[in-house]
Amino acid sequence: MDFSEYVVARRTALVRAAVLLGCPQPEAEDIVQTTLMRCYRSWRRVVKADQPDAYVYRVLVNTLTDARSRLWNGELPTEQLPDRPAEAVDAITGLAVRRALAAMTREHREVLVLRYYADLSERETADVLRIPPGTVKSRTSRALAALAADQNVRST
Amino acid sequence: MPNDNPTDEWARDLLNRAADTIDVDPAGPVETRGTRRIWPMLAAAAAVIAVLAGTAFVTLGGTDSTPPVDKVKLTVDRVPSVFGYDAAGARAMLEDAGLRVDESPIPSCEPVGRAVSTIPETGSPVSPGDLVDVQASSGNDLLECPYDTSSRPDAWEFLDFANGRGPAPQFADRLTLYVDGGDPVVLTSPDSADPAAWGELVQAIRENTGRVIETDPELPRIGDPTLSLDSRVSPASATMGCGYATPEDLIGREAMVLSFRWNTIGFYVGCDVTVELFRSNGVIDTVVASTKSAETRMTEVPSAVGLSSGPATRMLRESGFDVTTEPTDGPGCDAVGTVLAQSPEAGTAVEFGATIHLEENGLDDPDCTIDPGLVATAQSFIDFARGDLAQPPVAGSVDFYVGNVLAGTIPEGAAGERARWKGCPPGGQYAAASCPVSALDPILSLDVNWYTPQFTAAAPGGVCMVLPGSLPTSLTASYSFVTIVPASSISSCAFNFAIQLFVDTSDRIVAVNLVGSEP
Repeated sequence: MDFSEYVVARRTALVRAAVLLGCPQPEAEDIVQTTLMRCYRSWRRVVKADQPDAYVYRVLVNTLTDARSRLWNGELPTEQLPDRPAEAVDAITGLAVRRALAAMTREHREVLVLRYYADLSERETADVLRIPPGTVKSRTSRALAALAADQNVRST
Repeated sequence: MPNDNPTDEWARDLLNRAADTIDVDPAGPVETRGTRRIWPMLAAAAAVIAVLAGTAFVTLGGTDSTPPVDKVKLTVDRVPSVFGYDAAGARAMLEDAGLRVDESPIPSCEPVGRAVSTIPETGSPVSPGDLVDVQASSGNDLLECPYDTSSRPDAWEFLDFANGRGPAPQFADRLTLYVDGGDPVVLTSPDSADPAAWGELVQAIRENTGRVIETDPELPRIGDPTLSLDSRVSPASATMGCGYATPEDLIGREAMVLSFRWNTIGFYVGCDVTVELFRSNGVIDTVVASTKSAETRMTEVPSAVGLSSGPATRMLRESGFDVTTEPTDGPGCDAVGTVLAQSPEAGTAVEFGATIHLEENGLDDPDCTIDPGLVATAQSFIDFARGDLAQPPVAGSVDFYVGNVLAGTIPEGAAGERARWKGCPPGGQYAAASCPVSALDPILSLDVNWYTPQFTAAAPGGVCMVLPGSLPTSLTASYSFVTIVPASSISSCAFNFAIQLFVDTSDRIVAVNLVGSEP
């Protein structure tokens, strides 16, 4: 897959992943743009990787880490969820999940997003986060439990 | 819906539903318009930007009547770049452009008084009479700079001279100038003090430091070029800039290396303009410069040291190299067939298809053990990393290498300060990690995951280990070392490191080399 095809195919998912990882939405597109430009520098190596997505997500996580320390704290507002009209259930769910993610530690948020949104395997997630696969497994288990226990998520 | 037994499928569905509520403008098709390619490198960069700019850029690219944006030169209604100016020069330039100017100090790794940025930033829309705040460096007292800042005034002095904004640095009476691998040109005093006498080099510097890139035509954010600075001793196999051979009479001499990069948000395409300044007795006697790409296609040699013969040969051949091997005569500490050395060394720039010679361990040495004094030093270093020891055993100042590249020096008496054990190699990035990288964090990372570090007498190396440079022979030939590594059973391309401790005869640390992996 050449670079431009990859951008067209994956950019939306990467922006959404950046938001789920705690990046304010206005900055998420910039973060993804920076990520893709960094990947462009070594695109031949990226496409030779077993899983190009894992490589790109690794760069995305690093770029987010850089930006987090420099620009923003990655937190969502904590006011009560709005009353929900029936047709807005998905939006309510989305906000509840994002808020639950924001309330987690960064480590837990990362494993959830990489495993269940980016759809990376435990081994790929370990590669992205540079931690042993066993740590991915244990963090995922605890993060899943926290997500399931979140009051707002339970009520959606 | 409450879920007391969350499954993978439940989580996958939940996160995808959450993601679907995040509106994202879709990326557009690839922009292919390229008639404005005044500068090949810029055009390549612009093509990348075009891919990323999405639908907004496509609109500007010609599907309606909007005139295309000139991505090279700013129009008069934009804040110009102050790159390369001091505060007074920036003020004069901006006032000449009809703007009002204020100045404010900002902590920076640049020399005091150097213009660092503006508010509004470069490229922002502006009207005559608008106020622009020039942010000038107040020094780095409040910062932990990721590089040695002591040489930057000298670099700026040369740049100012080239741009006609300052006096000439101290040049030798006879200065030799090499440009793009061509024959040497001798500039004699006082001609060398005239920028016009430097021909295409000065022209290239002015083109590169006077231009900016527009990163987004809808939201005008325009990047300044950056000045990177390094110093190195030219080894015999070195190439300059984009691949020109090092002039023979410069091999072994130390140079200050300036490079100018179109580094808007972390990428570059093509070669940097590079200037290497060689000094004798404080005066510049030779300048070697690259102003454009070399025609020879070069690549870096990967590291095969530490691998066994078969995988090493396979890896190198798959990377396009020819391989020859030779066993050592004597026994070594590594398994038979382990690659002990390679020539050219890892990180050396060579032509594609070059031959790599591997030296493999020929005999087992049953008595091979690590000196107990070295083990004790390594253990003390680990204790310090864990916070169990106030200071590791050091001989004085400690050089800190990252991937075999010098990234800083821990001054004498400061080894107990944990923040000192961090560094960032030239270029600002290492093994896809954020700079600065810490020599202590890998130990803590092992601890977090309940693993025990191990010691080895082997130098760092192997597949995925990132070794952009070579350690100086003055270090490797003079000092013993021990290397701290994770157990081989848990190391992988994603998680591997080596902390090589060089010690003196009293087992006190004189240098540390941190090596990391990259998938």
